[in-house]
Amino acid sequence: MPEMSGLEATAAIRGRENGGRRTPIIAMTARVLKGDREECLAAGMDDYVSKPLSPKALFQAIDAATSGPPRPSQEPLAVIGDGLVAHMGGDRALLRELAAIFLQDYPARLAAVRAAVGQRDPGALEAAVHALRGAAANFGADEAVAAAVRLETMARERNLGGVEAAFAELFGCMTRFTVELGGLA
Amino acid sequence: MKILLADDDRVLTTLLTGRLRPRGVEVVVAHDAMQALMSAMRSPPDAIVLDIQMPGGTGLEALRKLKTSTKTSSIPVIVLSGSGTKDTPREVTELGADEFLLKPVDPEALYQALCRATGQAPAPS
Repeated sequence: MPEMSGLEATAAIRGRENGGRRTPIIAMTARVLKGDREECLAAGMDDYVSKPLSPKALFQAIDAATSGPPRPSQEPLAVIGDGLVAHMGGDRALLRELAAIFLQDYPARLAAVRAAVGQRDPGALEAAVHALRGAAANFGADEAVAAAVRLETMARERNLGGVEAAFAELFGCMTRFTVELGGLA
Repeated sequence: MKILLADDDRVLTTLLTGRLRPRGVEVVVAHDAMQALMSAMRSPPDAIVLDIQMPGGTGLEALRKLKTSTKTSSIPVIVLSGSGTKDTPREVTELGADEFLLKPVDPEALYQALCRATGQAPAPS
């Protein structure tokens, strides 16, 4: 889809659920490459149907996803490290200032990562992820930093297979992190 | 103590400025290597904190220039990096850096490193 891929949209939805009720998400895709299914599941989707769509397969997938007790979303994550306020010398005003700066720069930094993923440009991707990771690491943000390291490693090793799922995962982590930061700013 | 802090990450420069100032450290910030070199030449600080992974890959080049120019060669330099191989500390030491700190930077660890590099006694926190 234009604007935002389904993987990214899923990551954003999972990010906002943050441990709350989990909305079942079923991927529909015309791509039938090996690994597509794994990519969709890794990004937090529940099932996968391929196009051209068979109504029967879709209904089965919907039934499977909505039957039984609702699945919990992933555990809520304390994305901002416990030691953060101490790291700031107990200075909450400084922490708020840092959060505001991060959130100001974040859209452009994320857009640079997304563009590099879209262009399959490992050099640009490594630089863009590095900048985003560095800024997030100042807050602890271990989960987002780990996701960024995975993407950065792919870029450095010029091995972009699965890069979209890795980006979707980073996007989900960053969404959780920025929601939490927004509460501070 | 007056230091020059060269890093393109505004979150980090704001964090370090906010934490070092109460310890009596005056912080001048540069957001790229060229700005850092010009600032160091114009108004030599007591120590320089230099990120070697700024965009354009100019951090190491800046370190080389700082350590070869007569105006700045005696200023201690503490190098920061977001990643590095096991050889990075040795590489930057060979270029004349006094210390190497891996990011994320603990402000207190940086303060202690600055005191070591400038021979100043740490102020109580």
